[in-house]
Amino acid sequence: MGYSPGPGTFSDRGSVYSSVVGLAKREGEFARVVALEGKYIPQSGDLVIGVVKDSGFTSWLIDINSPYLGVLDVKDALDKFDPVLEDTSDYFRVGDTLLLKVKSVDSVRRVSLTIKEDGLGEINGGKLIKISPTKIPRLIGKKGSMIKMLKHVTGCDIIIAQNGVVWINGEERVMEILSNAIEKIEKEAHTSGLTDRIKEMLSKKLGGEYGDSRQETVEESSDRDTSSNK
Amino acid sequence: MEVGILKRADGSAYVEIGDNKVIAAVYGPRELHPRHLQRPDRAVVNCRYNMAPFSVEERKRSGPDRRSIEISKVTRLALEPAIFTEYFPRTSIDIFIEILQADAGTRTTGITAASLALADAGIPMRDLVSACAVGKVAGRIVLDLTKVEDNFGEADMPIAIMPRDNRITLLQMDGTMTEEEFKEALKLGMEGCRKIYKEQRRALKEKYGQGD
Repeated sequence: MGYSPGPGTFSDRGSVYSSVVGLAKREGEFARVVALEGKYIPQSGDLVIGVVKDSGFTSWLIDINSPYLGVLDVKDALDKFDPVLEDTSDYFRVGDTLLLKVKSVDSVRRVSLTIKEDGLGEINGGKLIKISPTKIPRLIGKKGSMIKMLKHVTGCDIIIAQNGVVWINGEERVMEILSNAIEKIEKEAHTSGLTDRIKEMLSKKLGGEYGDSRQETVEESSDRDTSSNK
Repeated sequence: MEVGILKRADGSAYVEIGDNKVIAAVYGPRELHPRHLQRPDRAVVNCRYNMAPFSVEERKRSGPDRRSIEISKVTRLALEPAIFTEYFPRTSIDIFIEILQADAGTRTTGITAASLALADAGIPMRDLVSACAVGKVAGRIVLDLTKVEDNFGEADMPIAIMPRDNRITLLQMDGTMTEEEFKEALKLGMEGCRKIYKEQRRALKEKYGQGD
């Protein structure tokens, strides 16, 4: 009969209405709207890149580019920690950049993070780029098509996090070009044929060179398939 | 009407109606400090209406005055019902409205602009809020009074509605009207709001190259 309200919509007296400016999609019985703007609201299981804002007695406060601050408890970071003898800032200090996962979010949106899984950890070197979290799925692409193309054409390491933060690493000049490409993807996320246009633009600018300067300056695997998220 | 004119704000809009020129900016949802002002079940909405000193002929002294504080409050009450504040516990949504040029009807232009800025920020809403002023001048019911009409007229009635189902979120009156005149004015005002709504929707679509 009628549709059920999916994300970005709500129902009012039998009809489904959009609550945000976005692209309407029908998925089975659900009508949903993909928002074109909006803040990052953490969800359990999300991969996020955060910056340590404060270190407490047995935890760290992490800025995850959201109206909600994330908390990383020592039990989700270290196997052994003695708060009497050690200091949390011996491990992660204010300003450190970390790749984490959202462990859980409670009813008042208090966010618990973890760094204990494979591939998570401190991020060194490279460049961080912030884009609107709503454009992340486009940056990943259908079945990872966009990110695969970007990695292949630029030869850079790329980690895309759900909270709108992207980490890239490679040659200085190539990173600059990739950074511009990401900006362009963000601006034109709602248009079609984007993957091909970006591929063309990059190939032209890089002159057909496929950078093989893959630097392993980070602990996590660079083959991490972030496209499998959600 | 144009949205996204301020890059730093999460959402913004510039609206010109008649000789009124208004900018609105929205920041949020964002962390709310101090902590004791946080609400565990929803976002707190703050609204500041302000007139630039150069917006009126007689230079307006900088800073909030009683009128601005009242307008800030009624503006908040006009916009809040439209916002899904329960989606963002413990945060604040801050709305700023600056009147750059005033010619009566600034509060309604402000509400119209703020609505656009909220939508531009991607803040989920039940509907846009569209506003305009209606009044009585020289015995006739008129729409969108100018400063002169407001000063010499018999009544001024700003209205704001959520046009989808015609729910009124602001209704004030300054002056005198009979019951019939009020009914006529309300009808005309709501029609005016619906026209504003069309323009608001167009401005939002234009941002993505899809205006009308």
